[in-house]
Amino acid sequence: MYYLLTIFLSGLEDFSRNKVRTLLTSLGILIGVLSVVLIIAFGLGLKKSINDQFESLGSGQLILFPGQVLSNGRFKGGGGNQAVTRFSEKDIENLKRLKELKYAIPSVQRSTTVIANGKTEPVDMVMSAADVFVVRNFGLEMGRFFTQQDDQRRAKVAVLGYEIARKLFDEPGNALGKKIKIEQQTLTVIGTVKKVGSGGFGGPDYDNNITIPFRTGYIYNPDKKFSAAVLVVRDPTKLEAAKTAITQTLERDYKKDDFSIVELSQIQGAVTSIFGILSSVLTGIAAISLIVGGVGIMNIMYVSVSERIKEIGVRRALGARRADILWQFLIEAVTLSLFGGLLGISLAFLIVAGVQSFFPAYINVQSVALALGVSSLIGVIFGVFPARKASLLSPIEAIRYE
Amino acid sequence: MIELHDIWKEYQINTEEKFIALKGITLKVDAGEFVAITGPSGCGKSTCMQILGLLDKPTKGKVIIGKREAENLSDNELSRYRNEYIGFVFQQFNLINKLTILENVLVPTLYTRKKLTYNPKEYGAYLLERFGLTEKSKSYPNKISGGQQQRVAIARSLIMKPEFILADEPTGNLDTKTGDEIMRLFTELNTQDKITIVVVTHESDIAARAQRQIKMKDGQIFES
Repeated sequence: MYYLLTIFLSGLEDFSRNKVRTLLTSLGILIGVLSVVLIIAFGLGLKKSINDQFESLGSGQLILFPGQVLSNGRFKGGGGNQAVTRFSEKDIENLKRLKELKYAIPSVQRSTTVIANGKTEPVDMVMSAADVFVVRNFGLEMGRFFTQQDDQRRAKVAVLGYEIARKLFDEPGNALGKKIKIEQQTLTVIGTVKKVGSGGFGGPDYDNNITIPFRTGYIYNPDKKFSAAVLVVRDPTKLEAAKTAITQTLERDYKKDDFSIVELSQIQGAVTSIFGILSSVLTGIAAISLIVGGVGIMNIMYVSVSERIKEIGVRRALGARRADILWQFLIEAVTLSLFGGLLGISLAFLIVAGVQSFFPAYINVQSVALALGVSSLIGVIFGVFPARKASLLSPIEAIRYE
Repeated sequence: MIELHDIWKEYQINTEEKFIALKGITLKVDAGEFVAITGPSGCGKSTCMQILGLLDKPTKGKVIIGKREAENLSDNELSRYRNEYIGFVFQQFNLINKLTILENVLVPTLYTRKKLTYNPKEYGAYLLERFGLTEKSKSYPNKISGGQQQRVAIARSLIMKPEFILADEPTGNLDTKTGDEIMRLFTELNTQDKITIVVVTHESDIAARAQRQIKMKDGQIFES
């Protein structure tokens, strides 16, 4: 124990003597560990933010899409054939009559630009029913949401997401009662939504949406068709029964392949699995830099062994066994890479703490353990070759070495 | 007791030539002796000492240390013998520069598997005091004189309380006066501490301080 401690301390002393070299060598490992830990942390944050978004939508929700969106429970490429079937007001009315459903909300979305207060901003305009605010759990920041009456009257009103209101009017509160212009049509802002705080990665960015009544939206949507419908089941435990009822209702007018009913959990699973694959690929790429760092350590250990051949010979003459020399260099290599690993992890913690205010990235125990394990393993693997070379020298050859 | 019996040592210079450093050396050093191995440079005296010190293996011949034949010892056992029975003093001092004087003296104790009956740090401090180096114990080797470095090396050779001290040209890098002090120290260790001492030197006045001289020439002993 005393022996290992002495070797460990002597290794540390060697590093303090070669500060720049130690730092540069550790830099490779530092960058590798930093990128692995950060990518895992951001991946976890992404997953959490996606799950939070889905959870905020509540359970028992089904989404009706035109065409076949899913095949074998996975998303098909191309997003279905929306051109073929789009749902009409009549379809929605039929679904509303089903006793299994609490809500049937039509929805169509349009990417456009809004002009207001002398500013022009790109925006996603959602044309939907008044119930959408309830279903999506939106809170009111200012004013009011539009109502069914607004919809029936085709009132030219709009409810602004928090961010878009801030972008156009600096303060979301200033937006109330103001006119905005979308594609030559003037709308009055009657309310702003509380910050939802999601979006940016994968999920819908509600804070940047403008929601208007769907019938008002017929100005923009003259064929009066909807690209999706949000269906909320009365009893979430009877999801399958509801799906059957919906299918039967729609099959009166459509072929079986013309529509799909997707559970929120299916979408959630698909999105999460896409990001899961993405983040493991990125982690793999980041791991390559760990190997590059390891080669750096091996290089330095070779130099260190060559510089200290005489010392190795002296130690051997004084009774060090081959294993003792092996241990000494191995401990130095592991210390060097652990040092880099710990610096990388600390830096990752700092960066994650820095982004926490706007992105829910977090570092879990597993990724820290993985990074530390890999960095010390690299020390062992890349330290063992130089250390073996050092230990195999005959003492007298080593002492004579100049 | 160390015994060399018909020792040959050959070095391969290239595929065709080889250099024969030792040509059938037989010698015996008894416990308590103070022996000088002497001769001109290149006569094989250093090679002879390296084989005596189990630092190198002969091409042919028997090395007997205590009652065991060195040929039968594993690398680990050779390390253990060097550690416990032999103290080395080199011409170049061979201290480890990044360790302090006291740490240098203690290096052999790091590698021992033997349970020491004394506190190595205290004994190291005592040896440094005995050689007048107490003030330097926290210094580093490159901060002290050659004579002081050699005394540190001698303290290091004594830390395991060895039976033998093998010294290879211990005065070679020192001036006459300092070299003289080092030799006086060896004499003292031999007479007071009863340690067997083998000094390899090419200087006849240094060799003259030993009880017995083994004179070598061209890889052979011609007078002992």
